[in-house]
Amino acid sequence: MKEQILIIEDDEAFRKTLTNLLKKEGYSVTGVSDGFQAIELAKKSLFELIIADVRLPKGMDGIEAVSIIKGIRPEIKVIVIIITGYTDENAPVRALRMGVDDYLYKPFKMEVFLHSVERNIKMYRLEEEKKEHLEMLEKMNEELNVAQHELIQSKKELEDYSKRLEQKVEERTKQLKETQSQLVQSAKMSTIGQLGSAVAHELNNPIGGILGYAQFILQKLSKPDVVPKDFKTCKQYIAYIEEEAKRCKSIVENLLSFSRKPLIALESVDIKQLIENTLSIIRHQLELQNIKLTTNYEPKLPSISGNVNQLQQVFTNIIINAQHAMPKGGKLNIRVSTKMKDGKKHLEISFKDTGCGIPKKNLEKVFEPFFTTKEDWQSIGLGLSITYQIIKELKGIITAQSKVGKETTFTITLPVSSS
Amino acid sequence: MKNKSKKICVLVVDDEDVMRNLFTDLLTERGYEVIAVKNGLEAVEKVKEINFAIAFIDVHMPLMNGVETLMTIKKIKPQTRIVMMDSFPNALIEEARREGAITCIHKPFEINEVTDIMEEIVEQKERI
Repeated sequence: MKEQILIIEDDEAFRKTLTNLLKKEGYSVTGVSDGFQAIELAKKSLFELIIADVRLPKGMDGIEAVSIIKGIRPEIKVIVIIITGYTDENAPVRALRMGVDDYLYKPFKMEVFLHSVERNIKMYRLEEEKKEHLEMLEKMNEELNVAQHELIQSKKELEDYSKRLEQKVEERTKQLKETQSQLVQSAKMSTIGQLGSAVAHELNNPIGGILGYAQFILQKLSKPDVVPKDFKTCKQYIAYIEEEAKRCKSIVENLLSFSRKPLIALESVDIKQLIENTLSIIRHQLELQNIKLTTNYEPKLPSISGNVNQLQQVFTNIIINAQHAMPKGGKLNIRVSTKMKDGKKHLEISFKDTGCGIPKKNLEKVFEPFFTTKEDWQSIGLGLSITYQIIKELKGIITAQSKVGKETTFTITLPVSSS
Repeated sequence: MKNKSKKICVLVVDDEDVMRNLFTDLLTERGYEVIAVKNGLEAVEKVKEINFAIAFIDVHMPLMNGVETLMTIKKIKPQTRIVMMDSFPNALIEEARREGAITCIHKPFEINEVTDIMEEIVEQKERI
């Protein structure tokens, strides 16, 4: 539909010349001989270029005809070339008023004519392209604006989401810390359960002494014939009572301090002292089971940074495990020495028992939570995993080595405090 | 070697100092001859030398637990009456009963639990 040229020229021969010339140039051309025909055609088809002679028959001149044609689709531009003879004096002015792209005076050279057609069509096409490009740019700009707006929106949503995520992570961390604290407590309770029998035994003996002597004293002093010697004897017995009561006190204190929820405060810890304190509760229990306990402490051991309660729990856990591994007795050796690791000074604490050992396939899992090979209710399998966590938090490591049926060694390495 | 006095001889086997002292003080005042030892090995040695009417043996001891001590004593002097003592519920007590302990007392016990048992023995001896 594009290259439509309409020629309005009543001189048939001239019209044919122009038509053929333009057709040769590749344009599609339609020719009519008067204004009325031109208008009818223009209603049906879209012409890019109208070439009109001013002088036309039937009472409508070229300028009028083009003016009406332009009015059919006023929003669409039509190129207009007017052809005229010199005798039409008003024509130029009228044409200009109507809006004309070129004005050719007859006779003209065919090159001039062609050149005008080409030039005007080219310019027209360029204008159209420009308009199209502009429209496209505007459309793209509009789309970009929308996209930018959406981006800003997305960014904001992302920020909101990120903030909410942070909040959730904070909450979750808090929950996890609380759970971990509970787990540690739970494992402790389990360890306390393990200690329970040892402590019951420990406490019942001194209490037995207190009760026995108290009753004995009451008996003695209730006799009718109480003599001074009796008072002396009773005084001795009361001294025994006092001693045994103090013993109960220290056993209970040891157990309470162990079970209280610790503040995770770090302090300078004397490992030798701590191990000895731990042993004071369970040493007896080990003896009862014919476990020979030996300790080797390197002289002048440096202190490490840690939490006393946690470390006591760690040592208790390992020693009780060793005890369980030697139901018919054996040996437990605890050795503390200094060692250089990664250029820094460390304390190495090893617990070696002569128990049943841990098979290789279990050795890898031994620090996993809830891993246990024991059947009794007191073993929920948390002890070593909590131990592992505690040591890890102190920037230390714990390893286990074992020979089945022969021995097991747990080794804890902790960095020496720099202060 | 027989015991020289006519006093009833009592053996106390317990690794706890206060327990040995209590038994010694309590029963000596009542006119018994008390020998108190710390563990099963020492107890067996004493049983070889002396005829004890009764032995109070703690179930939980190092080297040789109460039940092992009981069984060994019974092999040497089967007529010795054995009373087991424990400081918390333990399966060993059941085993001790099966091996011939006449009764058991749980720590902390009241002194009349011990004196009642002693009076029983005295009565039995007087009936013979």
